[in-house]
Amino acid sequence: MPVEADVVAYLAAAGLGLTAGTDLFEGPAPETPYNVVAVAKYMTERSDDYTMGASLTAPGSELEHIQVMTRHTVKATAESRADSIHAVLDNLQTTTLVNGRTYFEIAGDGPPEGLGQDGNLNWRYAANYRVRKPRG
Amino acid sequence: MAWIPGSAGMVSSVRVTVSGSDEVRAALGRLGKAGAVEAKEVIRAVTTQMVAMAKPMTPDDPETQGELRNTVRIVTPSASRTGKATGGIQAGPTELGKRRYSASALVQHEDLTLKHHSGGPKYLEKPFMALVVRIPDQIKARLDKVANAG
Repeated sequence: MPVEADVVAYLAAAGLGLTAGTDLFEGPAPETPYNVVAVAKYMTERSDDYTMGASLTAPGSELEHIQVMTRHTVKATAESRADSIHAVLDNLQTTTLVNGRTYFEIAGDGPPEGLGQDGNLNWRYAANYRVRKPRG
Repeated sequence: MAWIPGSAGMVSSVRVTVSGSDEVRAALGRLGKAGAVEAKEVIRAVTTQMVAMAKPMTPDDPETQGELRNTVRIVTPSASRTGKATGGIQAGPTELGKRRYSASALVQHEDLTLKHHSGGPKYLEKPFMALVVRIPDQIKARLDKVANAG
């Protein structure tokens, strides 16, 4: 499963009141609905977790970067929702996500940051996370 | 090695601080001012490469004509007495200085939904992460060269 799908499933089960496919999406965010949370992978890194062995040996873990973007018509809701998600994801240590896959670490680059309003006057907050996960 | 986001917690600038490698830090300390000079030169060279990589990745459209792309630049490297060398790259109007950030450059960097004629989001972070791994080895090589020459 891609990292976006895993994190979306995890957030949907985290008691945040978010529902995958309704207001929680694998990103980037769709144009509508306005009130959404989108999880998007934007970068990968070379793994630092290879072990001695055949050249085809998979790394013990892979490193990927995701952005969680919260968009809402009400600024305070966008911000508080972003903060709630950050509290769930930041510094998440070895955890088996709801789909049975074990993630080793999710660490934020900083708390959610406001991106102002988009063309439809929706408020947006975004936070970036470095994810150490199993291959695949 | 640490990656330090810009002043807003997100990035319209990214900086690298060489502080994580005990071996490199010890060598920097032993060489005194010469070590700091060498470290800054390596950081200057690598961040200059980052800028070269970042410019084509920076959002641009026919109507903006390089408005943001032309502002991508290095942050002048510095070194402290404790053996910490710092440098980075940033984008946005130059009059903001290196401690502040441009809201426009930040949104262009972080909004994954924006579409442009060329370039796109994460135009600083991607080249930064691609090249930052070179810095410790290059500093170590430069310090070895200086130490052996002395």
